[in-house]
Amino acid sequence: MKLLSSLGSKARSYSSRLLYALGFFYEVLKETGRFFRKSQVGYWVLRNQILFTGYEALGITAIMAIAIGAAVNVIGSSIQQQFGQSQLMYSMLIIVITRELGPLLTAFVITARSGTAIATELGTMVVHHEIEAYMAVGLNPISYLVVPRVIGVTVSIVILTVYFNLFGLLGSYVVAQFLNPTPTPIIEYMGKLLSILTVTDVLSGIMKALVFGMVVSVVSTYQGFSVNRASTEIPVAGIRAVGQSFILIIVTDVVVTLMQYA
Amino acid sequence: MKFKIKYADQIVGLFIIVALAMLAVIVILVGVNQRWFAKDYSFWTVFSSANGVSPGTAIVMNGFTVGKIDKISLNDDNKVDVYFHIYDTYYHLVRRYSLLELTVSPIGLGSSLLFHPGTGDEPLPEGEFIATADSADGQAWIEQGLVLIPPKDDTITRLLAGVNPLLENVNKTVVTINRTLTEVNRALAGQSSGPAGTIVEDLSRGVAKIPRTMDRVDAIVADVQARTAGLLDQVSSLVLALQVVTKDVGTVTGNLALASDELADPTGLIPKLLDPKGSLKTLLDDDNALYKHIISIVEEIEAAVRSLQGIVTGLNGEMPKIAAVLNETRVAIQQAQDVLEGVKNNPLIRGGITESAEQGSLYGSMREGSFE
Amino acid sequence: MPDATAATAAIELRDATAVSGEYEVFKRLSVAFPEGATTVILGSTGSGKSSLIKMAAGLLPPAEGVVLFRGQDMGRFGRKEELAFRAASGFVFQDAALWANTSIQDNVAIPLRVHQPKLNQAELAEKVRATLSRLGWTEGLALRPVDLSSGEQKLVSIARALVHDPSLVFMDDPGSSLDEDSMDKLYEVLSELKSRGKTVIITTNNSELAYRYADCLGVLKSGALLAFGRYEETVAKAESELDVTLARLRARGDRVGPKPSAGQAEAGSEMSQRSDV
Repeated sequence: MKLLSSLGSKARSYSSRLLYALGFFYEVLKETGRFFRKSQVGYWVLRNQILFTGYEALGITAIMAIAIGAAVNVIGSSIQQQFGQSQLMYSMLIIVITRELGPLLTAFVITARSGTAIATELGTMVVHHEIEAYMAVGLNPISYLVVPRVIGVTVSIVILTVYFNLFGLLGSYVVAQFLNPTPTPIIEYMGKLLSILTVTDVLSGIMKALVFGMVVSVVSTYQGFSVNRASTEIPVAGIRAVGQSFILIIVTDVVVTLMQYA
Repeated sequence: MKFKIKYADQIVGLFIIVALAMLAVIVILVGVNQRWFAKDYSFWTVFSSANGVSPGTAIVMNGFTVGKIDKISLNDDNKVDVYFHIYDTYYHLVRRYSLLELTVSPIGLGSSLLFHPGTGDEPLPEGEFIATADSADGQAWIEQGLVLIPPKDDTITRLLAGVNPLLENVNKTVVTINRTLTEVNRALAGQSSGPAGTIVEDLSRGVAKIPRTMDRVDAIVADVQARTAGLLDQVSSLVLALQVVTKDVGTVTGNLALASDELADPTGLIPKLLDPKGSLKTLLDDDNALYKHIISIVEEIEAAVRSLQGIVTGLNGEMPKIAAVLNETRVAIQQAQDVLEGVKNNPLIRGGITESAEQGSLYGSMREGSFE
Repeated sequence: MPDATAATAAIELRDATAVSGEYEVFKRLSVAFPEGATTVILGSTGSGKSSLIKMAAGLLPPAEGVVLFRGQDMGRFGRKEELAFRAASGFVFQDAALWANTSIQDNVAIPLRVHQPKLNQAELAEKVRATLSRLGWTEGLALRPVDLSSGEQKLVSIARALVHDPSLVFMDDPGSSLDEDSMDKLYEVLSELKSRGKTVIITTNNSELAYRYADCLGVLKSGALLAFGRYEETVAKAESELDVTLARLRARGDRVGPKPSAGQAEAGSEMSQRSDV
């Protein structure tokens, strides 16, 4: 009986948490729709969020992109030359970087940087009653705190994905020139790349980045608000935010990829 | 710890604008490279299968991409309608007798669609049908040299290009043999109403008729033999008569020679001849008996020669027919033998009809030989 | 319930229950805070004062019962009503609850940006400066709360609650962390609010505030409102549990300072009829 009742209560609490999470997501979407229609005190939060999440992550994103592009180029070239299919290199680069790794790795970086930061920041605010203070002055915490972060993180991931694609494709070229005994002129490289690259590739990467941005920001803010009163809950919220974000990013990646290739 | 960010607005603005600008540049460059605003000329063709053909597949000529496939669809004849476009820069190559050829990479790394320009004068109007290399028209045009087909690039493809038709023919042959054997088996089992069944039926009926036919043939052969024997007897008797006549003619010739000798001798023959009591007067004074006798002999000779001529002509006239009849009879008997043997040695069980050595005709004439 | 009572209650709790996690702070508590009066709820630590005032301010939804603002159920407020209520009210938190990532200037300015968006930058700055200076804060507006002591933070918090001139002010233990000078500033503010007829609801364990400014007095103990009514009447009541708390007030005798107005006194007496005592 005890097992049954504990199972039952766990199921109930899980389903009530799930419902709450869905309700939270719905509120976030609703307020995001209203965000641009009213005069915003949240603009400062948005701007600061893009600065921290996007601009400050540009360096690490660029390094990662160049490294990945170079690795794909080097590994792919050695394999494909055996089949006389070196033309496939460009398709591989585009698919790997633009469609898949670009948005995915960018989302992982942003989760690690901003996901924890958002969750811990909001958790701290809850513990210090700052959220109640926002409510007391008439600011909806979701529209003032969550929505700018959601928009900021989403915009940042999308912009960073564009940079990732650029650095990845160009970085691949730069590194390949050092390793290749007969370097390819950049015009030829870019020409071949652009003849294979389609707008669909770019847009599919951007769409994934959009979805990942929403996932990371909503999960992080949700976990931040889940803190109750104790400051010891704050790092727990941060860890949960990162873990759940990673899982949901991978799941949505598969779902979006299936939708694109269906 | 305090932190101040100066120019935060400008940094964020620049961050976003540079990314959007690069995105716009990439889109524009992609558009330029992929010729979004260039005019493409649409055509269509029909393939038997959509394997290796999909929307977006490049159409290549001499290593250059000259077009792309737009759309494929299954038509009412269960073949694949393929709609494609050719870039404007290569439109001048799309002339009458142009072909499309689908080649599959030997190591399974995809396929390529090759374009072979035709040798026609004017470019084809947009929307026209372009045949494939494996269609009847395409094969015909290739054989007639109306299509410019470059040599294949790599050894394997070239080999395969030669091997492929061979394999196809072998395949067809095997399929036909298979079908034939199936049909023969069914026919032998009496289940087939097709031509093999009919043949077997006819054959069995024919085989049933063979003994009667053989009897008739025997009768004909006997008759022919009798006739020819009779003819031969006549011929041999004529030949004997001819020999006798020839002998007589020889004798007469000899006598004439003697007579001419005698005549040549003026002292001897003429007086002898002119002597009223000579043999010549005696000869000429027999009331034409000798003359009549000679005439009758000559008439007999003439008649004999005429009948000989007639027989020979008749024989000559009849000989081909007889020979043909004999030949056909011989061939028919042989074929019947072969069929019986073949039926007896069913290929599925024993291994086919044994080769028999062809025997030449005994009565060969010029007509039977070739004019080489 | 008498109509006059309902009409003069700025905030009313009816059978309200407050829970914190699985812990019930108070159960089925009913109280009405009169409009235009200064109400002080006395209570020791852990009596539920903060929960009561947060519930009254609409920051803590009741698990049971209703909370009314001028007769309207706050649980049914839409966005407009909510915003109107917030524009009409200010809250001073026990621990100041300033926004850590925002400067003092912005901390105080945000309510103005929300409720008076038409103010330009200069007007905004002037109002902020004026409010802060009333509390003795004239410089260091660019500092962040982390740079301030807890007393200073409390003063800024009070300024933030008052900058937009609300008609209803909630103060959760405003005197905590304040030194004597700062307390004097607080007293001045409370005097001014009282003289302007603002509705002020204060929870404290400091009887001085009650003595000085309470028109209505309530005593909260372990989640139960033991006494509530006009100050004089409540103090005069000699219940055993109240003795220790009210003895000090009684000992101080009649209060010196501005007397409550007649209307406020009547409202206070009517409130006492409705207390659960």
